[in-house]
Amino acid sequence: MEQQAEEVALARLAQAGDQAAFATLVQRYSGAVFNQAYRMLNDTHEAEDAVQEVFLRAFRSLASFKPERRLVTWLLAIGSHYCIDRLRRRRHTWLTLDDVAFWLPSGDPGPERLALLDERRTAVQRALQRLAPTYRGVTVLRYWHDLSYLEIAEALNLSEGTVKTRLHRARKLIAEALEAEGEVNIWDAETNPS
Amino acid sequence: MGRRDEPELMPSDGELAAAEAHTRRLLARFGEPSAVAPPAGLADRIVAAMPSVSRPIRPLRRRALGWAITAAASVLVVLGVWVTLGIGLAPASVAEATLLGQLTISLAARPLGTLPSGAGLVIVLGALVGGAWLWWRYVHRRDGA
Repeated sequence: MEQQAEEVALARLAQAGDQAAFATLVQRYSGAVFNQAYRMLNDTHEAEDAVQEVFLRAFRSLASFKPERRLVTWLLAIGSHYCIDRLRRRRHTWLTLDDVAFWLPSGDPGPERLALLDERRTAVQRALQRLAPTYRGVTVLRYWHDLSYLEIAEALNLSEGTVKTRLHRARKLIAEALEAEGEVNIWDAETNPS
Repeated sequence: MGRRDEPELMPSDGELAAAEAHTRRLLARFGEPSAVAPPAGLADRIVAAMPSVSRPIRPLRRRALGWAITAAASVLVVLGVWVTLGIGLAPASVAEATLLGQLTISLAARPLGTLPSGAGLVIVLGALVGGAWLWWRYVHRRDGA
C-alpha cells in the first residue's frame, strides 16, 4: 500500500510537469515494459521503440491514471494495446501471421540477445510468437508479469471469462508448440515435474 | 465485453488451477518465465527524449489562461463594436486616467474601429468566437486526455 501511495504521488508530480518524478517512474518500470514489448514483438529495436512510445503515451495521459490501480498494470495495459496494434500493422504491411510465427530474433548481438541464447528459452519465445497477438498479450501478462485474471481483464477491457478463455487456448497452443520443438514431451512434464 | 466470435469456456476452478500449474511447470522446464535485460541506458534515453514533449500545463492554470484569453477577446469585440457604431465617447477616453491606458485601448480598438463595413465586423466577430470555441475545445480535450 505504501508503494502504491508513493506511485500515485510520483504520478501526480509527473503530471504537474515534474521531470524528476517522471524519470523515477521510467527508471522503475522501463524494464517491465521492455520485457513485455520484447515478448510481444520479438525484436529488440522494436521493443525499445515501444517502450519509448508507451512512456510518451503514459506521460500524455497521466491525468487518466486511476490511483486505485497499480501503475505498472496501467503501463502494461498501454503496452499491450500498443504492441497488438503494432503487430496488426506489421501483419497488414509486410508479414502474415505464419511469417510472424517463425520470425527469429534479429541477428544484432545485444545483451538481451546474448541472454536469450539459451535454446530452451528461445523455444518458448518462438512458441509465444505462434500465438495470435490477443492470446500472446494475455499470456505475457499472466505468466511474465503475474497479473491476476481480473487485472488482465481491466487492462485489456475484456471480461474475466474472455481472459480465461484466451489463456486456456493459449496454454494449449504453447504446449503443442513446445512439444513440436521436440525439446520436451508435455505429458512427461505433466507426470514427472522437475 | 467478450467477443461474439469468441465463446467463453467455463473451466472449473480445479481445472483452471491444474492448467495453471501445468503451464508453469512446463515453462519452468524451459527456464521461463525469465526477465530479459533491457538495453543499457534505455531509461536514460527515454527520459532524455521527454523534454522535447511539451510539459503538461496544470489544469487550473490552463483554465485561467483560457478565461483570460476569452475575456480579452470579449473586451476587444466590445470596443470594436463601440467604435464601429460610433456610440458616445471614444474608447480611449474611458481609460484617460493614464496615458498608457489610452494608448493601449486606442491601439487595440483601432483595427476594429477602422473596419470599412459591417461585413468585416461580422467576419472578425466570427473569427473571435470561433477561436474562443476552439480554445475551449482544446482545454477540454486536454483535461480529458
